[in-house]
Amino acid sequence: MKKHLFVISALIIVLSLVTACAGQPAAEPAQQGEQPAAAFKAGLLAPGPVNDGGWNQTAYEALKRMETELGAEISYVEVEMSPAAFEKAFRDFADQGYQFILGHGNEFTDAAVAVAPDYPNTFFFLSSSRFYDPSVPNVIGLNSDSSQPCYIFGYIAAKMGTGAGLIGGMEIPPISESFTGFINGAHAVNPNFPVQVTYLGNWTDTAAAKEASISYIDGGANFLLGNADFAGNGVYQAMLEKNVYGFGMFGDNTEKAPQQVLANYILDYGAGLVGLAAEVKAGTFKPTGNIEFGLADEDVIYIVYNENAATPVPQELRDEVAALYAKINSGEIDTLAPVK
Amino acid sequence: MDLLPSILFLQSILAATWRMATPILYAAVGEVFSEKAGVINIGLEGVMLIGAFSAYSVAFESGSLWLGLLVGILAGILSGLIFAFFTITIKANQIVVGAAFNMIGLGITGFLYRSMYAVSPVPLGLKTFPSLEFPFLSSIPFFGEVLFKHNIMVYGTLLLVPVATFVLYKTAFGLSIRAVGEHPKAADTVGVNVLRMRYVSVMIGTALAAVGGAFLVLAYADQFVEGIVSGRGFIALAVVVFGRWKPWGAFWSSLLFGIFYALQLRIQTMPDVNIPYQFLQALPYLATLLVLVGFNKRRVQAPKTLGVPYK
Repeated sequence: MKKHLFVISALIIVLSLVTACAGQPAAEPAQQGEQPAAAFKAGLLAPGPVNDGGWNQTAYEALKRMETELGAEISYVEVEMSPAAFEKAFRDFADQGYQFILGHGNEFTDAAVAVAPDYPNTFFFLSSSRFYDPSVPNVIGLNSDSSQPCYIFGYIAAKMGTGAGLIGGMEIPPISESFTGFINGAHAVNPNFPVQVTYLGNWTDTAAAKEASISYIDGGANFLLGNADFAGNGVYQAMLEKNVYGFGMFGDNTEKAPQQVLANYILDYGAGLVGLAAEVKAGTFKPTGNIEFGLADEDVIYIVYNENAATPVPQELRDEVAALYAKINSGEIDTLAPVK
Repeated sequence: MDLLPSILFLQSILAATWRMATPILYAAVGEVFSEKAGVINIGLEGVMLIGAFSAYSVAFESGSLWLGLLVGILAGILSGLIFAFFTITIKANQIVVGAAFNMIGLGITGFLYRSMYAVSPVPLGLKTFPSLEFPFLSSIPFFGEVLFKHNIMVYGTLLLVPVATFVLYKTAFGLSIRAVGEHPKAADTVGVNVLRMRYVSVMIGTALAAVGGAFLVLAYADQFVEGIVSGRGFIALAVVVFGRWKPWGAFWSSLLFGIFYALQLRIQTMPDVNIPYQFLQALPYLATLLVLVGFNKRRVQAPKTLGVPYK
């Protein structure tokens, strides 16, 4: 029995190698030639419905932009949570000559790594991942570094406030890193500025997020930052009701507390994806590592001040922030430095 | 002078306690009715979600919180009718139907929310029930903040619990409810319509659970999000047992839960305490359990035919 399995798997490996090698020369001219016949194709593996108004929709809209802006031929699949389905979906796209395939979440890593060596002319991108391995150079992790804008927020809070409360959904890297950035920024102004962190243990309990916010306000804080998906609404609500300041995360949240949100951190992940797709299409994409979007990618991660806040961020502070940008981009400031 | 921060800390916790207990309490008192009549409805979480979504969408569209609350209650009653039909008329397993309700509640409200509000041109926040200000009382130091600055639905629990106690223990209707849960055959022989009594009790239960869900969107958070109930329906089930199937018992148990929840949120923010937050989140459950085990020396008596269909 074991022997049979061995023979079969060996056959599969050999066959896939042969097909991979056979595929290579055929795909090569297609990529180099600029004829319309060899269309640029971009595919998406979404872990959920692409009209969810959130995570998956971001990727889908980026795909639509690739269609209009780059003339890409696009396609997506919504895959259920099974690694076998991931691999098959990757192969389906790659077999059809897709050059740009996005696995929208780090759960796609294993499948991409398994498939990628068979399709050297296809780039497999992974969302919220820092994956890079020179032995599979066509699998590239994409990460958005929220600690950088949050560093700026912490800096502003420490300049303008008495204390800050951070409310997170769960203690996972994307959340805790943003808080690390905030604390580092605040401590750069004043090492004794009070900043505390609460985790809710879920992404849905708006009421608990509001209650945690109120507990910070009772404790003397007047700045709030929520990073808890749906539950984050409770943080904006507490800002509004108790009239304390705060910041918007991942998009324009001004309407939730028009006088209190001092600035919004806008994450236009789609712009980052479209930019990458353009490079892949032009054949200029030569990765040497994973991709980390930060403040240096001005069209992907940026901060917009709210001019209509009760107390807008003053101009001299904005000038200081502008100087911080340069230091963060040059690496002089490490926003993810361990918090003392 | 060192006392002041501690007093403010305590004030902050106690003020949060009642607010946090309220949604759980509504659902738990409702479940007391249902379980007293012999029907265990573990679908509270789902019913609360249905109540929350109906109340939110009607309040959002009409601009009236009271209309939202009313429709939330009606949605709760309708859910109860469906639950009762399956468990009482068809005699399906109550646990299975309850579990199905939890999934249906999450699925249907999530689906409707996404299709109606996922992309909205206007802000989705409601203007929630305001905190009431009582002349003189609200300005008393400490007690004013803790007791006299809540919104109307929080104070509703003060009416709910005595009324529920009165109905269950001082009226013929309440006697019938308890009778069909303890000894349905005896109740039947003296002319009580067991099935109808159970239908009514289940619907009272789901109506109140829906009020608990509606509270979350009308008087606490200001908008619906998927899964906003976040386990409160399950806590309410436990509160019923902790409170020994009595409205006042449910009242104190949910307050106890509320106080420990408020406490754990604040302990997390203490710079010198390095307890993992996952443990702190378990604290309300552990503490409520321990305190009630300590207090409950007498044996807890569940209604005798709980979970058993009649005939």
